[in-house]
Amino acid sequence: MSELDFSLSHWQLGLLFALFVIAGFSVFHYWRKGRGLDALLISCAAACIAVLILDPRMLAGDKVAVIDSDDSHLSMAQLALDMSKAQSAQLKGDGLSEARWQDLPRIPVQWTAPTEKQKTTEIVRLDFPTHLSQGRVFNLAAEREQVQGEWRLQLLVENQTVLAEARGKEKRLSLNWLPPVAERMVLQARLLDNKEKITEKIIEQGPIPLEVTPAQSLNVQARFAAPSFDTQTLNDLLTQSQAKLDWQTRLGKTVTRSETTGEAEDAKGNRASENHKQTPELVIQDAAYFEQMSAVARTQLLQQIAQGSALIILGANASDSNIWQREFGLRVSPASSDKELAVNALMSLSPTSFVPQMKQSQDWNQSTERPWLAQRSWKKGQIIWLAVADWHRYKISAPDALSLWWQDILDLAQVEKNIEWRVQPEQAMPQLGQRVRVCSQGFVPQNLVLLPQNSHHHLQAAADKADALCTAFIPDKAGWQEWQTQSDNKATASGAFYVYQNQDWPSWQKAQRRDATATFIASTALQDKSKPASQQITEKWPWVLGLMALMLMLWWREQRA
Amino acid sequence: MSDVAEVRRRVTAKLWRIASLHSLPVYVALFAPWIILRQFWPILLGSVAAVLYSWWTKKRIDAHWISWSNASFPELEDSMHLLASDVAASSAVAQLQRARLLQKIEHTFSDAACRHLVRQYLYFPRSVIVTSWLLAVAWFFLPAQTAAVKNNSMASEIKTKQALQLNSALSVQVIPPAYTKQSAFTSTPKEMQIPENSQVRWCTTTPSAAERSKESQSINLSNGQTLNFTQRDEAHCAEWQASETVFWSWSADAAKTRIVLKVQLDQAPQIKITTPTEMVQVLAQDAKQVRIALRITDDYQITQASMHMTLARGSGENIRFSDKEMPVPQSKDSKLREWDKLWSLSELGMEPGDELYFFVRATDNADKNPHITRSPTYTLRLPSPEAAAEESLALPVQVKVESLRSQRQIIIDTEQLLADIKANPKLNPNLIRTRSETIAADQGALRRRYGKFLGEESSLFGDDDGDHGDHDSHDGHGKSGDKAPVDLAAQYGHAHDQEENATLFDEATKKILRRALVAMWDAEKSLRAIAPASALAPENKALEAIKQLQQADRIYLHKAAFTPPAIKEEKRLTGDVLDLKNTSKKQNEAAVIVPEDIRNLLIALQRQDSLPALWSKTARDWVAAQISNEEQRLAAQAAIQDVIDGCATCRPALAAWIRQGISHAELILQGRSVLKPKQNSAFDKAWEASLQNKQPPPANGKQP
Repeated sequence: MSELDFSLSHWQLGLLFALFVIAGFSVFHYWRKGRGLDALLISCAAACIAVLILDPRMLAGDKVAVIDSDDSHLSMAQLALDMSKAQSAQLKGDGLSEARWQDLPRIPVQWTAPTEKQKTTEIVRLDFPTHLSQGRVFNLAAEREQVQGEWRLQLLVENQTVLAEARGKEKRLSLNWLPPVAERMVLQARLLDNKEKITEKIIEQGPIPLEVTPAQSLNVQARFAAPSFDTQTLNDLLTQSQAKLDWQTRLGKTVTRSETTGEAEDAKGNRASENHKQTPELVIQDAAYFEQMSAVARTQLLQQIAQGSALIILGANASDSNIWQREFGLRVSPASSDKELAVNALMSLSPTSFVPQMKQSQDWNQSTERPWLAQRSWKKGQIIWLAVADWHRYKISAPDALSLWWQDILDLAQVEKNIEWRVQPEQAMPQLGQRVRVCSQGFVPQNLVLLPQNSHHHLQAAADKADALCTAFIPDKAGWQEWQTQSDNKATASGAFYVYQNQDWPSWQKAQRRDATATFIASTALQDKSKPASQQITEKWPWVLGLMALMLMLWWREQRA
Repeated sequence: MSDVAEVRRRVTAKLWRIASLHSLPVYVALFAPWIILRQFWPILLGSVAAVLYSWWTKKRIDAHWISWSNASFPELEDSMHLLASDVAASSAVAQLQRARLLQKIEHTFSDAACRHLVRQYLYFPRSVIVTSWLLAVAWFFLPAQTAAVKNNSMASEIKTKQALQLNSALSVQVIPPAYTKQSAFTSTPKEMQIPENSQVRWCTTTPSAAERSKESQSINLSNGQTLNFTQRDEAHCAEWQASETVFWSWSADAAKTRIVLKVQLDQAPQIKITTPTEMVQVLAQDAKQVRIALRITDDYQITQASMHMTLARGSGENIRFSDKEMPVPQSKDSKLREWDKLWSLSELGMEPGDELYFFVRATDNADKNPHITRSPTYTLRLPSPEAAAEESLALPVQVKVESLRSQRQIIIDTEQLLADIKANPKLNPNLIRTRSETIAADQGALRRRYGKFLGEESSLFGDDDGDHGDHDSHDGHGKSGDKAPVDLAAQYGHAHDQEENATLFDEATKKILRRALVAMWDAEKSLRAIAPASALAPENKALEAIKQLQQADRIYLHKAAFTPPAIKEEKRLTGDVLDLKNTSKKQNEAAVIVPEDIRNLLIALQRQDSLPALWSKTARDWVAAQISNEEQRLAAQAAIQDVIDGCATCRPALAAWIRQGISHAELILQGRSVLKPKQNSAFDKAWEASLQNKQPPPANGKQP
């Protein structure tokens, strides 16, 4: 009886019946012969066997609730009632969604997770962002549990034109797409199986909601000791990215060419607007400019970096290795070879005359895939020393690769734009008619208003989220659900999240249910271990011992007779 | 008694077994089609029926075996009923008869006899098998057919219904432009293909309908045009000149049926020159005639076609050109002109050393602006004999004999020599030798010329180079007779392409140069050994390398359009920078990739908001400008029409079409978004407080 089955199965009933017949017959037989004690022994032994057959736990008063998660008409109210009365539960199928588990009492659940051998069910896990900043690459990944042969993942637009496609034999496929406009859309993804080469079977197709938000422009301060094609290319890239530039290039000892946004130019006559200038998130300098800076200016710059800005040094025109050692603890030495370094598939750049020596620079680090870049943190900020040059060659031939490369450097430099609040549903897949919990950060307690229904939900502190305010509701409409936060009837923020139809992505739902169930069981197991109370009386061994004693006694009495 | 029962049981069992065996193949035949079709349910049903049938057979045997035996076996003497019951026979005769029967019965019911009996009484009806097969065939073919019929009937029903409505009220008249020589036709509204610039006229055929709603009647085209009906003779008509493929709908048609009008654009004439096949055809030296074959086609008519020939004679500065234009003769078919003619050289006016350039121009009969097609220019070259050099001396202008022949000329010379040897095997060996050596000398001169670039010795064989140096020309075509400017520079200036400079070439260029020189060496060697055939391969190799060099050069010779500002001479080289001012400029504007109105339209479409004013015009212009594929454009126009018609669910599809028109998406350099609330949450405050209580924050990195 290693595996417990809580509802009485046929074999249990059969055994009990047989036990009852045999024991009844024996008792009756002994009783007629006038051997009352033997009859009593028999009936006690039968009781012991009956307990062993039935499972001690049931007799100890443990009630077991049965959850059939494959039942499409599962009544949550009934289930909650059953589970509140029961001490443990038996789960069949793929489990319940996170929202549903949250509505149920936390009792131990017995569940054997469906294994991979059950090949009939398709399990797909999707991974994609629902909100994306414009100008970033959208990445959609799909993972199947069982893959036989080649399959394809497609991203389609609303008119069913294929935007991107990935194919392969791996379990996980991913594809990229660059959304051109900041808008809210519902794309489609399709998983195709071409097992038989000729006819393709659609494994699954469903909506991929994506909201592209306008990118926040960067404030960039750039100082160069000499003009170069590289800095000009960087200028063009940042201008096209709508960054606010404060760009100065020294042309000679006394001549400087500067380039600023319109507002700063107005500031020539008007000092007040100068104060409004935001502190730059990114400071770019070429090595020569840094080397020629006065000590005071350098200290100021480093203070600014310590506040949380990022500093990128273009190492192409470095000439004084001592300064770097003194200021940053970075050891640079003349490059040993002038072999070009491949920075990505399309680009290879020439190394600078000085390259950082990592072994002697403790605070600095360098990854093996980016030997052309050294990095260190500087209090809240980051400093990057770039030891390659000549990227301007790729401005025309590989503009996208160049942009991606620079974006990679900016991400490494931890260039950050602050956002003041964040609101998102807790579930990866909020569904129609199922409870959705929305948590927000960065707000004082206020109302969350769902539009256009205009239903108000109060955001309040949640027990399981330390720094968030949460609310929950049941969506009544699939599609983009717009929301607004209101404080004193004034809108403070707005946004939208997507509510899926119940029939969308059944296999992804299954995967999520499995994950949520595993999480739930793990959490109840923790709870369970903390109070191991009623378990002792459900042991089997006293009953076995009792049965043996009774039978021995009966045997002894028979022998004596 | 039990004897009788035993015998009865044995006999019936035997009969039943043989009957079952008899029907077994029948079952197989019965199930076979369904097994082939892999239909589970009929097999299951059949199996149940078979079991029932076999049970019924048993029942029948039990009930009738006595009468069947009596009827089939006369030796049983009609007394099988005596075995029917266990009850003892009433009379002694009966008992005697029963005993006799029991003796006989084993013998009588032999296997063969049983089979006979079964075949006689328990015969399985063949018709069942036939029925089963027929059913299977029906099962296989019927669903496909009914589905097809269903689809057809439904589709055609809808179509006919709509067509009927439209047909009865509207007719479409198409008048193709006169030059197409296609006749005008009138048709019911349906999808059709018409030539470009056709006049399309929609006319209402029922005057009552026209009068009923005169104002509201118009034809809406998918490109946004609306054509109003006007009174014309006795009918109401709307007119349009077909310029692009569109679909149209009639405002009076309740169903707003969209009918596609495909416009076939007028194609420009196609010219194909079949002979000569090469762009530059070098004729044999003794050629007397040359063949030129060409073919011109057009979709309607070729109005004009001519061959333009330019004859170039002479060399250097003394080149004379003469132009000639020949009409290409017409054929019976006005859409096609073919001309295959063997021209004699005298007819063309060609003499040795001349070149003839020709091209063909054709014009079609399109109405407003006829298409004109011009073929590429072909060159026919009649090589001059060696005497041509002397001949040129006779020219009025004294031109030095060109002594540096290009690699291409060297190849041509070698080929000519080979051809001559082949044509005339008895050619004077001395002549062959001198010609071969002349070519070798040319090759050597060229090699030395290129060798200079690598810093090689300029002369290997005496002062060969000195002799020819004056006449060196790097002109690849060898037609130039100018004095090379290089020589002047060498004489009066400093020599640029000398040893030091030679090293300025990058390694890749040097490599190619070296390859060319090695090939030239080989060629020269073969030629000097009077083996011109083996010289041809290295010669070609050298030519290929030289071509590569020239093309490599081209990359570096891009012209930079830069006009430098005027230099103030008085300030020059003074080192005075006081007047130089710092410059400050406004940051450049980012290039707009997606126009703002399109961006707003996209956002509005996705949000199900009210759409901006005049959005349909914006969208139509965008689609017309950005989507070039005809089918996609029609689909996009249909999506616009859907949204105009008020279909809310069609908006995302339109957004997708508009997005598809955006040529490329741009990457935007940006920072990561990091949550930094204006005010810290209670948790953050508590956390920071606890940190401050415990220890001061750790110093991060080395500080200046």
